[in-house]
Amino acid sequence: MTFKAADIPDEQILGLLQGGSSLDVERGLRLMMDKYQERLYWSIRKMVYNHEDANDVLQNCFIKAYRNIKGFEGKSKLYTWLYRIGMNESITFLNKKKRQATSSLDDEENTVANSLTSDEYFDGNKAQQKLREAIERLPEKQMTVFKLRYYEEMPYEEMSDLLGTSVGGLKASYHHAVKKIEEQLKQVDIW
Amino acid sequence: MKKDTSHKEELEQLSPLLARLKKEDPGLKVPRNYFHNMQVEVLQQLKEEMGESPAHADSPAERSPWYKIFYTPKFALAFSTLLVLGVAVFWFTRPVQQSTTDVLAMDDLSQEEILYYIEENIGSFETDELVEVASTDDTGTDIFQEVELDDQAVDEYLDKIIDDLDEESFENIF
Repeated sequence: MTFKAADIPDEQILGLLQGGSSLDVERGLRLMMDKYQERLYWSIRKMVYNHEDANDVLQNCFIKAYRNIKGFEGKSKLYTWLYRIGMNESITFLNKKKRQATSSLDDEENTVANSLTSDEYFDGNKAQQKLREAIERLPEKQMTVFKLRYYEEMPYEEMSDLLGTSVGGLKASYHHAVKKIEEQLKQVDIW
Repeated sequence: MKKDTSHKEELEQLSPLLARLKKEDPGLKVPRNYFHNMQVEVLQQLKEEMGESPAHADSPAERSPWYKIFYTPKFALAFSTLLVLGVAVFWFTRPVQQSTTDVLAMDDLSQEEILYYIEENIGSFETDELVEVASTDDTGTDIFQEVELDDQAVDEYLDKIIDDLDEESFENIF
């Protein structure tokens, strides 16, 4: 009888991860990854774009989850907790990458453009390519807000909790980011 | 991470262009078998971190905390040492049972030893016992046979003791 990981209740997975033998822990980890890895991957991928970067962030996310699983009190759903770890890891990664790009002697724009075009797992059209480039040119915090709202459709309240910024400030930041990107796309022939 | 359905309206109002681009395929692909390989890598990293294999099958006995204490090389060595010492102490301090073989058998005594004992303790033996021993061929007859009696000495001895006998004892002899 085959079963899908999606059918395994979170309580069972947590029971294996939090109290079992080493064999149970591995089983719990596998079940958790089977159940949530794809969903989490795509959320991370939309944040970091590059597949290799997304892979690194996703692995860090699960490793961090494993290390902190005993502290998970079950106040939120298991995926909500994983998602939060994933987004934090993504933001940390993006900020670090942004700082490295701005501190580089090379032109920041070229660095961003090269990074995106070198992604062998992107085969989007020109418009999508230009959109990504425009997003990457945003300031660090604004870029994070835009991606969370545009790609993840995260409510402002949740974003406020995650980033520690007021809802009003987040709305202003997002609106400003949208306008800036639209201006840039209108300047190039994306079709 | 509830998705905000009001976002669509917000985006349409802010930028129809971006709203249209959002509906298109973003062009993100994933390598074949990626998710399986990713799991393997994560588990491998955690194995190295823990310094042990999380995949070894623990038996119910091995899950016991006592198993982790007793089934260790140090404990096994200590237990073995104590066991050997205990057996050694028991062996060397056990009460020694007196063996019947420790008691010397008459057969272990030499003829000279027997003769010496008899000569030294001749007074302890009854006359009848001595006579009985002397009458048997294989025990002690040599004692008497070795003594050669001089007839004259016998007569002189008898004369002497007859003189000392009182009338009653003289009558008892004869």
